[in-house]
Amino acid sequence: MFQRMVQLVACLACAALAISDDSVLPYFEVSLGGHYTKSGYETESSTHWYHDKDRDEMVYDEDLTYDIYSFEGGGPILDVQAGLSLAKRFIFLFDLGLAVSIGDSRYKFYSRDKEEYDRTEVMVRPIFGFGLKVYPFQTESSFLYGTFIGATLSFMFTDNLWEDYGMAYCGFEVGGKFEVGKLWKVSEHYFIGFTLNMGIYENATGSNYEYGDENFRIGKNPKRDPVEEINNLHLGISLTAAWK
Amino acid sequence: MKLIRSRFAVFYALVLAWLAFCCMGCDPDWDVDPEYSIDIAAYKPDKVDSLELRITYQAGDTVWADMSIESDSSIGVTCRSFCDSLFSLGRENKVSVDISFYCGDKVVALPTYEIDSHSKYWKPDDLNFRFVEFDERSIAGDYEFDKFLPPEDTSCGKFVNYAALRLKCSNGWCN
Repeated sequence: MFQRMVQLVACLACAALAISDDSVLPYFEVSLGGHYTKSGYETESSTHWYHDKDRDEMVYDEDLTYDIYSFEGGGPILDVQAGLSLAKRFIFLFDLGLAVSIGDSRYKFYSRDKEEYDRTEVMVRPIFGFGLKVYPFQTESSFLYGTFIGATLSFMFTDNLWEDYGMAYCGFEVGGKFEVGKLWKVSEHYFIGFTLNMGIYENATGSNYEYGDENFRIGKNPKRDPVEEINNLHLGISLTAAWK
Repeated sequence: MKLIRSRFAVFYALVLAWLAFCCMGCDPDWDVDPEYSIDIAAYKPDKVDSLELRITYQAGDTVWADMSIESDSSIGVTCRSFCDSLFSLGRENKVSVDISFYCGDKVVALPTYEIDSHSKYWKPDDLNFRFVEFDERSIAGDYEFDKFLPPEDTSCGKFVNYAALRLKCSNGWCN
C-alpha cells in the first residue's frame, strides 16, 4: 500500500514536471475563518441490561447505549499550510490548524436515563495532517483560474471534557479534510481568496485500549470505543492568502 | 499347541501395547502441559456489612471440597488459594457457589449458582467468575454476563443487579 502511494506521488511529480518547465517552488498558505463543529460519542451495551433505579428492576433493552456525549458549537479556526508546488498545479503540503470551538456539550450515562445534562464548553483543538492540493486551471484568462480542490489526511486532538463525567474515549482522532476554494492573483506569487472545508474524524477505534485495560476491574473511567464511525464533523469557511 | 498359544499371547500383548502408544501419540495434548486458572471473587455491595462466599465442589454425589470464606472488607472475597487447590478426580464435576449477605443481625442467601465443570486431567477447566453489583459503565474487562442472582429475602435490599459474570480466558490466562 505504502509502495503504491509512493509510486503514485512520484508519477504525479513526473507528470507535473513534464507539463511545465516551472521549477519546484515552495508553497505557503494561511487561512483564517470560522467553523461549525458537531461531535457525538456513545458505547453500545454488550449485555443490554439496564438498572431502572426508579422501579429498582433490571430492564432488557436491545438498543441500550451508555457514556453518551455530544458537542455542537463553532468558533474561529486558523490554518497554515506549507509544502511544495509542482508546476503551480500540484501542491504537496503539510497542514497545521487550530480550532477554538464554543458550544454546548450534552451527556447522559445511559440511553434510558431520564436525566440529561448540558454545559457550555470551550475547546481548543489542534489539527495536523498532510495531503495534496490541485489547481486544475492554469489559464489566467479563465474564470476558473485559481480554483483549487484539496484533500488531507488529518489528525486531531480532541479537547472534550468527558472525563469529568466518568467517560473515557480516545482523545486522538483521525480523519480526512476536504477543501475547495478560489484564489485571485494579486501579484506574481501572491494570491488571496476563500476556502470552504469539511473535515470528518473518527475516534480511532481500538487505539483507546492500552496493555492491561482488558483486565477485570471495577471503577470509574474504563476506556471505551464509541459506536459511531464518524465522531466529529467540521464545516468551515476562511479567508485565504497564499504564496506559490 | 501351548507354544502357539503363548506366542499368540505375546503377539496380542505387543499389539495392545502398540495401540496404547499409538493412541497416546495421537492425542494432540499429550505433550502439552495444560494450564488452568481458577479464580472466583464476590464483591460486597455497599448496602451490606459483610459477605460470605461458599464453594462446594463435587463429582456425582461425592463432595470433594466445601469451603467458606467470609469477609467484611469493602471489596469482597477472592477464592484463589483454596480454589487453586481443587482437584477434579473426574471428568464431570459440579461447582456450587453460595453467597450470603450480612446486614445487621440478618443473613440473606442468594440463589445457588451452579457451574458445570469438565476436566481433561486432574484439574477442572477454567473457573473464573466475578459476582458483583452490575453496572456496565463502571466495569472494565473481558467478561460475559451470565445471570442475575437477586435474593428472595429482600430484608437487606433487593439487589436486582447482583450478577454472575464469567471472565473470558484463553489457555489459562483470564482478563
